This record gives sequence, C-alpha cells and structure tokens, in this order.
Amino acid sequence: MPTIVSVDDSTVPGEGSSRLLLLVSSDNKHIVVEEDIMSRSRFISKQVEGFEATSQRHAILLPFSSFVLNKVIEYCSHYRGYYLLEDDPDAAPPGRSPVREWDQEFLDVDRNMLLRIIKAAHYLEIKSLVGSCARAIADMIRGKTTEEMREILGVENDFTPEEEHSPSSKCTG
Amino acid sequence: MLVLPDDALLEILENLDYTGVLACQETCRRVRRVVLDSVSLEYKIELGACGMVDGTVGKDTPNVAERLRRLRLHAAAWRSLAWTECTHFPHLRGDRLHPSAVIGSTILFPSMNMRRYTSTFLIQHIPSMLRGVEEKHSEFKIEADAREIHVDCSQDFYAFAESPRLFQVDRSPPRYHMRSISSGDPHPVACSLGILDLSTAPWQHRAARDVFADYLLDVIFKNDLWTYVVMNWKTGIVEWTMAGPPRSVVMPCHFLDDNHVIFDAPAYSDRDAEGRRLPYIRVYQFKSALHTTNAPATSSYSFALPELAQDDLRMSSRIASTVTSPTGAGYFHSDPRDRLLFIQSERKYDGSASMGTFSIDIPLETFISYIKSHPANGGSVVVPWDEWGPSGSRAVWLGPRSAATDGLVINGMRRVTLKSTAVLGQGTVMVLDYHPRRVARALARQRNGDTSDTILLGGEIGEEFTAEGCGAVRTTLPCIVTEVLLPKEAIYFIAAGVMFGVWLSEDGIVFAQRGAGARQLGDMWAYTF
Repeated sequence: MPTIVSVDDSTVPGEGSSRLLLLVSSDNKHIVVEEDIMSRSRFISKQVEGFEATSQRHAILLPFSSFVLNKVIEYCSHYRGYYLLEDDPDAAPPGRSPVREWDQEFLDVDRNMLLRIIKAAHYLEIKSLVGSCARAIADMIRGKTTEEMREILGVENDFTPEEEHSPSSKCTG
Repeated sequence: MLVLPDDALLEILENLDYTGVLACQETCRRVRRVVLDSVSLEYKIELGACGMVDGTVGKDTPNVAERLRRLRLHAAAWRSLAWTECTHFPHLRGDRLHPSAVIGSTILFPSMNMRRYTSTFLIQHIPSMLRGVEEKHSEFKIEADAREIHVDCSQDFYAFAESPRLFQVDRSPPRYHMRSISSGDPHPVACSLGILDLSTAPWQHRAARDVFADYLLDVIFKNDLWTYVVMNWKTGIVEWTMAGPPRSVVMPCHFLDDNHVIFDAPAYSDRDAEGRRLPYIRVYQFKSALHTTNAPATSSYSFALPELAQDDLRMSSRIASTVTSPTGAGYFHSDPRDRLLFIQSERKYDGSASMGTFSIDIPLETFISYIKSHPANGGSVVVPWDEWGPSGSRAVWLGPRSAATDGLVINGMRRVTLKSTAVLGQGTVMVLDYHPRRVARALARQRNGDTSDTILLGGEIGEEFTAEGCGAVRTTLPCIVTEVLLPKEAIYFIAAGVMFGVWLSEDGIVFAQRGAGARQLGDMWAYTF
C-alpha cells in the first residue's frame, strides 16, 4: 500500500465532471491526470471511492517510476471512454484477451519495459493492459528454450537437481 | 531483479500453448507452482497431450473442471479400452451403403436408391460421453445426383457437386453446393449463398475428392483430360488446377494440409530399365490463400517408396477429424494436424509363395517438415526413400492378408486392427497409437513405474520387416499398443463373418452387421466413451 499524503486542495482543483488526481511515482515525480482517464484502473477507482467517503483528496503514491507511469497513462488516455470487456468488473471473466492492433504497437518496447508495464498494470488492476502485456510476453517466449525463457522472465533456476529432472506429478497423467 | 506477481505469470502462461507451458514450468519453482495450482493450465496440458484443442465455448459448455474430468476419463478409456457404453442401432436396417463420411461423432450413410436427381442421406450421431452428445439421427434429401458428399471437420458443413446423370454426355459445368447439416440451408460462410458455379465449360464433373479447411479438391474431366482442381469454398476462387495424365482411372488424392495435395503412388509409378515399377508418392504444393509464405505457385515432391512396395500398392491417408458437438456448443476438437499416412501393399513376401500385406505408417508431419525445409523453387524434387523414410517411418509386415488386416481402421494417429478368430466368442482388438504426445506421456508414466502401457519402439504386429534393400526401414516409430478382448456383442458377427463394416472415430468404435443383401447395412453397435 502506498503512503497517502494529504495535499492542499488547491493543487487538485476538482471542477466539473472530471476532477484531477495527483499521482506520485517512485522517483518522486508529480503527475496530474484527469480522474476520468484513470477510472480504468480498479486500484485508482477504489482510492477515489475512499476520497469520496472521507471528503479528503490525497496524492496517490505509486511504487513505479514516472517513465512507466506515463506509459500507463498513455494507454488509459487512448482508451478513455472506451468499453473494454476485460475491465468490466460485472462482466463474465473473459478468456484470452482479444488482439488489439494499437496495443501491439504500443507494447513494442524492450523486455524490461514490458515486464515493468505488466507489473504496474497488475498493481493498478487494469486487466485489459495486463492481458495485452501477457500476450506480448508470451509471444516473446514462445518456442524458446527453458534457459532463454528464464532470461526473458527474469527468473533464476532454483530447482534442486532432483526436482529439475522429475516430471511434475500432475503432468504425466 | 524484477519479480512478476503470480496473477501476471498466470496470464502469460494462459497465452502459451501446451508445449510452451510445459517448457516454461521448468524455469523455476514459482512458475511450476503457478502451473500446478491452475486448473485451466492443467486442462490445457491434458488437452494438448490428447492431441486436442478446445472448440467454440458456448453457454452450454461445461466448466473447465468438468471438461478436464471428462477428458481424463476419455484418455483412460482409450488406454484400457473399458467399453463403457454400448449403443445398439437396430433402426438403421435397410438400403444403406457404406458411409460416405465418418467424422467425429457423425456418420453419414447414403441410400442405395439414388434416382432421378434425388439422393437421400442419413446422418447418425453416435453418443459420446466426452462431448456430452446424445444418440440421434436425421435424414436429408438432396435434389441432385450426389454420390460423393463430403463433410468437413466442423461436422456442420457438407459439400457435394451436382453432377449430370450417369452416362449422360452433358458438358455442362458442375455446380457445387455447400450446406449446413444442422439447418439444411446454404452454409452461412460459403460463397454466393452456398453455390459455387464453374461456368468455364466444357467441364464434365465426376467426383469430389476431399475437403479440408477452406478448400475443396475435385477431379473434373476437361478437354479429354482429368483435371485436378482446388477451390476455396468460402471465396469461390479456384486456387490451383493441374491437368493429370490421360489415364482411364482417376488417381486417389487427398489434402495433406491446406497447402499440399498428395496423390496415390501407383498411378505415378515410373518404370526402370527392366520394366519394374518405381513407386512414388507425389505431393503438390499449391498457392494457398491461408499461407502467407512466398512459396512458388506450384512445386512438386516425389517421395520414393522402398522397392518392396513395387507391386499393387494401395494407399490411403486418413485425416483426423476436428470434432465438435453437433449441438453447436462445441468443445473438444481433435487437432486436424495430427495425422498418419498409412500405406498398405500386397505382394509376395520375401520370395515365399504366399501373398502378404505390409504397411508403412508415416506421421504426416514428417512429409510436411521435409517439404518446408527443402523448397523446390517451383520445380520438382525427388526424395529417395533413404533420405526421408527411415527418420520417421517404418514398414511393418502384417502377415497374410486375411488375418490381421481384417477390419483395419484408422482415425488420426490411432490404428485399430481386429483379429478375427475361428473360435466363436473370442476376438481381440488391437489399438496402435502413434500420437507423439500420447506416446511421450506413456513413456513418462513408464519411467514412474506404471507398466499399464505397452510401448513399442521397434517391433509391431507380426515380424519385423527386413527385406533386402530396405535395411534402413528398421527405424523406430514409437507407438502405444493396447490389446483387449472384444465385448461379446461385437465378436459374434466378426467371427461369424457377417461383418458389414467397422469404423473408428475419436470417441470409440462402431461395428455394423451385414443386412439382408450383401451390400446392405444391418444392425449397428457403437462402443464409445
């Protein structure tokens, strides 16, 4: 959970239907964004609900860099006002997320950035972005060797020698 | 180091296919735990290992856990051949001929009385526990003389050509009809409301040959030549034509995949200086709209067969069906790419006087991967047997014709051989499963101490085939062998010689008894699970 800092109301002028939010990234950059844009994030929505309840608006501290945050905001701005089935909490859980051309171009970034975006999207609970990132990462690791997969996913081989060669019990059917 | 949350890992894994998931779970403990904790990934692995893919998920489709349960029961039933269900179909008696199509849980019987441009077909759906399909049957009538009818792997598409009456010298072009089984109407995605009109006369139609994915393969008589035509039935575009040699018989041909057509060997056999036949299987690559490769419009490959295949070679290749539930809410498709090419030949074996039969089983993947790695650049390539054969195929001596080859049926990568016996009340059925993934699983089970499977890597039915000049044939194509006693109801008419036919589907075996006339169908029994 991020620390919630109380801010002066004047920094977040809440006029009209779309109010402004102050997001603070881990590298201490302050980013002001319209609440409407970020409503795709379940995490932000819950925060905003909290503000309504307590009538106090705060800056929201986020545990990732402004570089990543800006990317996520770019995504949310693009889909502002769009209905995406995966992001609808009332909809039936969808299967694999659909391929969206814009997302593919948007996620044409390096491996590290992609992992950061999916982590941020997961933190912010933006299901559609998690789905698109997962698809892009899966495309990267498809057909790769186990060693190459480790490198892409950024994991280390922590198996004991016995475990490594024992086929996992459930999968031998 | 960046640590992804479990949910995100799961999302990534959901996007991979079954082999990808298996490879990925070897990366680290956490990924393996995520895989083992997820029912949907478990289902994906199980489905992949059975050689199946999921179909269209509708609102009636059971949830993943239930599908997984049924799939496990189904896989276990094929291994133990526990005949869990026997359905008797007495109502099928009558003027039925051998089925035109056996695909998934659907069997299509034509009627013997085809006259005056009217053909009647009976569709029999055999019950399937896997798919949750009940037994049902229906009839449909076609206002045309349609002897050849083809059902595609969705089980809801059939195609036939409206041909002129037999012996009628009519040069009118053939019209193809593509219809939906469930509604009887023109198929919704077929071109021009389900009718494909080849107006470039003079073409005299003879017989449709095969249907695969978006394509129809047909043989047409044009300018006194047999012409082989591949048409896209969705767009109505003729993708490929080839004028065949002017022979009196039409060459059997099938789709290998949606980019290649395979022809039977003997029709193309060349002869050497001493007049002996040099048998080939010939494969043509056609330019397919479904493939985006820059392959030239037409390449051909001639796959040489071992010398022993010289005499009277018969070939049949079977295509594993993509199986959907006929009710529409489909699930459990079998993978249409998992196929086995089966070549059978009869000849005098090894100098002895008796006629015998041998077979060559080749995973079609072997063909296709060879073709993909050796582009012919628009020309023609001859592949000697030594080069392509030994790596992925083997010839097997099946013994005298009358014994082991009775009631031989193939579906996908499974082959079933019925062993007839003189003793009434005893009979066995042998199932050979060449599916690489299923074999890999059986091997894994064996490593864990489970000895319920018989896995053969070298030997098979009868003796090993080691004819001269074919030493290289002794290669390994592993398969799982299951042999069990037949249920009592089934063996009676096998042993008594009143068998009309036996058909194999993904979900079981169907036996039929001969009816009143020699060519007529009698009672039918289906053993399914």
